[in-house]
Amino acid sequence: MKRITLPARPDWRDKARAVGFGFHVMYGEPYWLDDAAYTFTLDEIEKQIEEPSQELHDMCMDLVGEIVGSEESLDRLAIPEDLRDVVQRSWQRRDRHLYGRFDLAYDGNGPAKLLEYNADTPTSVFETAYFQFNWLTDQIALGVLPKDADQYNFLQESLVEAFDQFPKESIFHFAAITDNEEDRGTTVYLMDCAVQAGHRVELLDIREIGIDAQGRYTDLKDRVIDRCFKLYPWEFMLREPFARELARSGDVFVEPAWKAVLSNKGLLPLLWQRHRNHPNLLPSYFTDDPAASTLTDYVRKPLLSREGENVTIFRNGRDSISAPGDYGDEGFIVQAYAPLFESDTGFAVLGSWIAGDRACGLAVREDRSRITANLSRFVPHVIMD
Amino acid sequence: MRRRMSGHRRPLLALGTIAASTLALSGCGEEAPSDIMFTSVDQCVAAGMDRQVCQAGYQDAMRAHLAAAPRFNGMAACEAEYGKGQCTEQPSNTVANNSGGGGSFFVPFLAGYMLSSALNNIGDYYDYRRRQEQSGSYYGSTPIYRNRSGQTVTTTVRSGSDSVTAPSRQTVKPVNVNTRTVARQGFGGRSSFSFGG
Repeated sequence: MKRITLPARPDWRDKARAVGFGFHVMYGEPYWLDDAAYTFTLDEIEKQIEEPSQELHDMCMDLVGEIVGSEESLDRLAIPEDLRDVVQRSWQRRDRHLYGRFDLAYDGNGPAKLLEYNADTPTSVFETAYFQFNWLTDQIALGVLPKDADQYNFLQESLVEAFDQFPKESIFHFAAITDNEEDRGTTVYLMDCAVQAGHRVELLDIREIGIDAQGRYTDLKDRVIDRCFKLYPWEFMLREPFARELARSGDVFVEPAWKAVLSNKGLLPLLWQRHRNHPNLLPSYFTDDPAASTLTDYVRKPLLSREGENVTIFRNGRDSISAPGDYGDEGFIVQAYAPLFESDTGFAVLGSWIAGDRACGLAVREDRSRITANLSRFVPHVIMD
Repeated sequence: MRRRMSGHRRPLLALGTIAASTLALSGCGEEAPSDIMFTSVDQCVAAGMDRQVCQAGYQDAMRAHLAAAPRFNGMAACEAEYGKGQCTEQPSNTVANNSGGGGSFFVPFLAGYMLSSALNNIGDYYDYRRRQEQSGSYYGSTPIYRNRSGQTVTTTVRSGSDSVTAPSRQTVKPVNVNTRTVARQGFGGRSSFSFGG
């Protein structure tokens, strides 16, 4: 694994504009880097990223049933008591899921380590599946990259295949906070994949979802929503007023409610309990576990947190860096510290994609901070032996 | 390992852009209401249709059946068409505007009735019936019969096919049923930069 710089495509901004990729600059900062790349060998990709990601996903899927069947585990994950039925039944029905992204710490030495599983509302999917691949083919055509340069990326076709598994009689609704450009773009990209799989689609703001007198979710045309992708976290939905209707209409949403147990940081100590010393796992404990005090270099993370909020890194037992935020009410876990790939420009985290149940692509994001947050940049990757 | 080699097709965007608004997508979201067959009022209600629509539809189908069911002079002739045990004797005085004096004839059992999935409430239903009347068929919902090979058939002339497929129990649920929204904004209460991770 290396970080390289190379000439940006001269027309990449036009290309971004042409496909509506407006968030290549976010909050005044560059988000997409066209003039840099992370390089991997084929062996690194296959042995250190793809195979472990597939194995981690399979381990997680094995664990879901155990977690939803245990009141103690659901307590640990702070799943609201009155909605445990919704989560359990969504698993018992095997409600279909679409995608997820592992965040991995990997610096080219030793096995990649699982930092967390963004199994509910992962973003950067358009950048990974579409724009990154076009970057590769353009750079090869321009002679900047060699003809045999490759990329670990069959995310788009895997998403189309995953969408193809959902019944197509009904409209597939897509809901997000639509005034956020990144979330809307991500959601519309997924709608595009659904269209390619033969679905009829409709976008609405998650706040526009209604209910009828029978407790069914409705769209703005007063039609019952039969299936709805939502780029909005389960941990919020489960605590909001319409959650009471989930008992009746719980099978509507994608990702399904059982993803609430995988996108929860409490998954990490539960995985460690069951697969202690697995090469791709870091020692992780709930904070009240006596074993937690055995860690000296570790990261404290809220059970529920996004964009690195409320994450604190401890070195030699002391608080060394922390990120602000609004999370933490539900409790914390601690996880052994794992070094990230480090270069002059900062720290890189690998995002390893699962679509359906298949590991299928890689996204690299870098940040000046060791805590990867919302302002981190997306850097394309390339396989070159 | 399966990778996207450089010779692989580039990913395409079916919609052309990710900056799309709802408007740009409306062409894809256009719903074609489908006709659905119900065997009873209860099944109609269970499928999520409005109860008043289900009841009115059934009554109209029965009215259409009494007035216009396929008629046979003998049981054997009726059964030849609709199958053994699938016909009943109907006294002609039960039929409105019956011109032919006394006696009786034979008609197939009503197997069900067909309604549009787009009917939201009784007002919609009456509009629908009015439109049907204007187009020359005099009853709102359509009576359905089952012929001897089990196919569902109707005697009402409709544009397109005169045969509909009865859904199995599993698929009887109509899709994206029209309804009335009583509350909104029950999700999305948290404000944040972004909800993706």
